[in-house]
Amino acid sequence: MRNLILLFALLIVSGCTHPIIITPDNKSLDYVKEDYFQAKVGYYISAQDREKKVVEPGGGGDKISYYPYKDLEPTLQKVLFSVFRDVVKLETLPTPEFLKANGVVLVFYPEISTSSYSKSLITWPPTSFTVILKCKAFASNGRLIWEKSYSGVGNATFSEFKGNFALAAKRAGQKVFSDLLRDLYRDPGLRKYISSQKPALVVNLKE
Amino acid sequence: MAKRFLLYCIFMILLSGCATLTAPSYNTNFDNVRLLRNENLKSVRIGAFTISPSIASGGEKLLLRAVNYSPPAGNFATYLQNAIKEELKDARLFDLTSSIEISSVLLENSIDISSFSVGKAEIKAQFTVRDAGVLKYDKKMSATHSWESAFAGYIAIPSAQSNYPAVVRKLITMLFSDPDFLSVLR
Repeated sequence: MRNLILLFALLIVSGCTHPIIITPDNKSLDYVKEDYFQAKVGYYISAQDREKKVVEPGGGGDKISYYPYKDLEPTLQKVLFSVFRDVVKLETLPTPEFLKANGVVLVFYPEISTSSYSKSLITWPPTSFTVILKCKAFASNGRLIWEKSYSGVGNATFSEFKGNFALAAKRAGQKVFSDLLRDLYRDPGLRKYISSQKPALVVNLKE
Repeated sequence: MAKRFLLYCIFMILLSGCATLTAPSYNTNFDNVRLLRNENLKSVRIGAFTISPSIASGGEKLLLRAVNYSPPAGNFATYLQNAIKEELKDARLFDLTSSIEISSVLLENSIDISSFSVGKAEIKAQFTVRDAGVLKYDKKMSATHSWESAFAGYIAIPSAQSNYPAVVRKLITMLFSDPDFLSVLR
C-alpha cells in the first residue's frame, strides 16, 4: 500500500512539464538471424530535427516533453544495423559525389511525427501515444528507391506505467520500427537494388 | 506555488525507501557497433561480472532521494554485463564458444540528485580479457554523466531513472575505444 502511495505521489499532476525519453527497448527488435546485406547505407536527420523538442498534453492538465528524433534515432540505428553491415550517420545533406566516394549505396530519410493523450485526471503519464514514421530511401544518384509510412499506437494503464512513465510511447515506437525492420529485410525491390550495386554477399550471423 | 510545495511535502513524507524504481533496459550505442564491425575483430564471450567486496554502496541498488533504484535483473554488475553483451550481439561479435572472454568487477557505482539543478552518475569498473585462459588485458575505467535535474522530486527522480543508462554507455564506449582492448580482439 505504501509503495502504491509513493509511486502515486510521483504520478499525480502538479502543473508541471515532465520530461520523458520515448526510446523503446531495442532488444525487442531482434535482428534477422539468417543474413544481412553486405552494404553500406546512410541516414540523415537534420540538426534541427534532432534537437526538436515536443511539449504535449499529458494527464490532468500536466504536460510531457521529449525529443522524438533524438529519442528514436537509436531505434532507427538498430533497424538499419540489423539489415545492413555498415550504417553511416550523415551530418549534412549528402552529395552524389560524397556517397559514391564513401561507398554509400542508399540513404534513408526518416520523418517522424508524434502525439500523446491521457484520459487520467490525476496522473500525468500518457495513456496513449502515436508515432508516425515516413521513411524514404534514395540511391546515391538521387533516385527514389523505396518509401513507406508506418503508424503505431501504444497504450498503457496506470498499473503498467507506474514504474515506466513513457511506456505508451515506447510501445508505439516499438511497433513502428518492428514493422520497418520486417519490411526492409523482405522488400524485393530493395533487395534487387542492393544486389545490383555489388554482389550481395550473405553473411552467416554468429550466435 | 503553494500547491506544488504541498505536493512536495506529501512526496517527501511518503518517501520511505520501500518503493523501487527499475532502470530502463540498456540500448546499444551504435557508434560502438560501427567501430567494432569495421575493426574486423574476433568474437568474444562474456565471463563473470561481479561486485567488488570493497564497494561502499551501489552494487545492488541505488538511492534516488531515498527511492530505491534497481536494475531489471540481478545487480548493477549484471546490468553492465548485459549491456556489453547487447552491444557485442549487435556488432555480431558475441559467441558463446569463443576462446576470448571479457570479465569485469564493478568498483564504484553511484547516482546523486541531491542537487536541485544537476544530477550526476558515476561508475568505475575493472575489465579483464582472457584468451584461452591467458590474461591479455586488465584495466580500470571510470565514467561520469550529468543531466539537468530539478527541485521537485516528481521530476528529478524519473529524470534520474532514465538518465542512468547513459553512464553505462559512456563506460562501454571507453572500453571499446581503447586501442589496447581492440588489439586483443584482432
